[in-house]
Amino acid sequence: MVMAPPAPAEHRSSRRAPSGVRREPARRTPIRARWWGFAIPSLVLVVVFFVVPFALNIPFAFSSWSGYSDDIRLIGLKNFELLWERGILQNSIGITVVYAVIAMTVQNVVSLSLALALRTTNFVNSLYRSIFFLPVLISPLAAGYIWRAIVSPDGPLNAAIALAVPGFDKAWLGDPVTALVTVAFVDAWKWSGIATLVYIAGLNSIPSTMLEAASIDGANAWQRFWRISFPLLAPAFTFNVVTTLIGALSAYDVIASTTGGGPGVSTVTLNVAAVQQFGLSYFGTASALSLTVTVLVVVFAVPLVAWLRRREVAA
Amino acid sequence: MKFKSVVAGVATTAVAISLAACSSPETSEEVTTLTLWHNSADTPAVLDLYERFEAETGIHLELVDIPSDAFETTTTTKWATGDRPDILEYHPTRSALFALNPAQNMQDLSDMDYVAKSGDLYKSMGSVDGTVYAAITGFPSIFGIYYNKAVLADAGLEPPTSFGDLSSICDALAGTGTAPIYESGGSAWPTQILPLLYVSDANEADAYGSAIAANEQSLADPDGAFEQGLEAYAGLRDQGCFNADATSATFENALASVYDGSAAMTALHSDAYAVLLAAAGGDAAALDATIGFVPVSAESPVAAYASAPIGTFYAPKTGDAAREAAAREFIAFATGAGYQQLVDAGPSFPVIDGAETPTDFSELQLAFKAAYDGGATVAVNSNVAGFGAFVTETSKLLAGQTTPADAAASMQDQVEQASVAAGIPGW
Repeated sequence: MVMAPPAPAEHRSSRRAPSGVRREPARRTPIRARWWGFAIPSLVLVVVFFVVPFALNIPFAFSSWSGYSDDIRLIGLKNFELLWERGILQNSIGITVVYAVIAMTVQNVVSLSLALALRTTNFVNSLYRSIFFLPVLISPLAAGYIWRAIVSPDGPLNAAIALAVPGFDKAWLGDPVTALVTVAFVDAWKWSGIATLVYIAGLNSIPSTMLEAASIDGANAWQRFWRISFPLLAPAFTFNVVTTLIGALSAYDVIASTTGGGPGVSTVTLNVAAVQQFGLSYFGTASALSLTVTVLVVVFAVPLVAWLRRREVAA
Repeated sequence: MKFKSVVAGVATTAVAISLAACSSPETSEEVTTLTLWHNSADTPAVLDLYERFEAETGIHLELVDIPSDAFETTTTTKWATGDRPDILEYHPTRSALFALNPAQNMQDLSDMDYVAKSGDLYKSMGSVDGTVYAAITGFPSIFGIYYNKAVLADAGLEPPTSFGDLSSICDALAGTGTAPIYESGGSAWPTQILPLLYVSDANEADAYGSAIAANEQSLADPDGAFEQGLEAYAGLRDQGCFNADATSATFENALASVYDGSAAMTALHSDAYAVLLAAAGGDAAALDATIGFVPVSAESPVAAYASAPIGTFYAPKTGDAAREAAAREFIAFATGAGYQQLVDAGPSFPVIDGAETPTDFSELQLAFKAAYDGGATVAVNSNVAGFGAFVTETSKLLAGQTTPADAAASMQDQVEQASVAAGIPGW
């Protein structure tokens, strides 16, 4: 016996609501009990690999756990106080946020530009899409080591600049400001390929008739992009902004392989600081820093998603 | 109801996985395999030692690579999960040992033969409160100054013996295009060496380090050698002694620059010899003709030393008597029947009595030995708990992100935190 699949709820409701008539909210379809079976594999993976470790980590952030002693007690907020007194917490939060904002901005500007340039599907564009996607496939550590060599004082970047500015010599990773900006750029370079594909998919879902109509009405290229394409890209924009920001807030590998947190503590993000605390056998303070990453992601991501979703509805 | 059952099942599975990971190993009668967490930068001589032990006893050593780049972090992270190898290769310094809670986690090796044959070594390394936990087979790392002979000779300069000399050489080489001292902030750990060298002539018999460890003296003391060492380091930085890319350069860059003469000196340890030899194309004679090594401290030529992790072994408590005994058997082999061949294969200077010293050392290697025999003192950070954060402070100091006084105060706080946690008397 073959059962016909149930029609999607949205499709059914649109059939009930003729065009021009204000649509009633779709009635919720009761979820059939047997559907739960399909959710179980994902549920198990999420619970075992995300929920349980996260929940288990929370008490450690408030404990005196260190390698120095077997005596582990709950000590309230003392780990956070200690990190604050040493300047580690505020320094690493500040650096993480600046790093994430730079990486997210660069990544989205570059990706959107590339998507606009490579929007049409043809052989040449497909080739370039593949080339720009390649960094995504490289190990972040390998990417970091490669870029470390490229931006070193006697590396190819300085050599190229020296062709225009004779005698140019700059230790890009040796200066606190340029080091942070450089590693954020490397992060953006590494992950732009994914965001580019999402933007290309978003652009190609925009009906070409709308752009043609705008063109006939006299809209120039910039107006067509800003008034039509960009608003209709809202779902892709939301996805890319949120995922790139969250990814950059959790940054570790690229920094570890380029600056290791230096010069001094100029690129010590929360995750780098957590690893440093782990290395010192202070597992309680390391857990506190890891928890701070999670809190930071929630604090930034939830309002951002809410705001961007409202923007999607408006568009 | 079904959903509740699923949730309960998932929770049970998760708990079962956790318990399985934490459960102690089963007791076995015959040991055929021992796990050994080892540094991925182990020398061929040490790797050969493992193979010879396997051939001698028939016990297979399952080597777990701990990357040398993140050696301490990886070891302590694995350790924190409750995972224990049968044999651990790790630092013999008390500052590193405290973080593994040795009284609770390590076998007492005090009664083994090699301890009595190692002179005073275990008074300053590998032991806590008179109990020996480590077996040290390697010659200590000697901290001092590598210099390019031709660069100094051409400028009419003698090799330095004190920090005053370092400063004078900086002045003499100013404007020549040669970096007087090549500093490697990109590798981070070398930034600790100059401040530690400054202290070495004030740390005879580890008196200063012991006073810090016992809370009888503070690191945050403007009149103390430690804070003055940080002042001297900042002074060299401000004087322009370092290379322009000091905050991002690596120690490999440092060795290559001193070898090719674009830098006059660099402060590193004797274990960098292999990298330097590689820079010289493996030609030890060419290396000896180009590079020299001298001890330098605040006022006098006193080197600092610390035994290295490579070739230093511990036998953690695993709860399995047969495996613990087999781990001691490995240590007995490494320090006894297998030791002479280990020393010969280096070649390295023996630290256990009864082994004969090889004869085919280069001039530079003999300079390390001369620095050690010439009154070298143990590095002041070796036996003080909580010194792991020193590298962060010296990196910040090099980058101008802290002051010597703030760095010293921060280190005193870190030492206090670790010493209190470790229950060290005096804190």
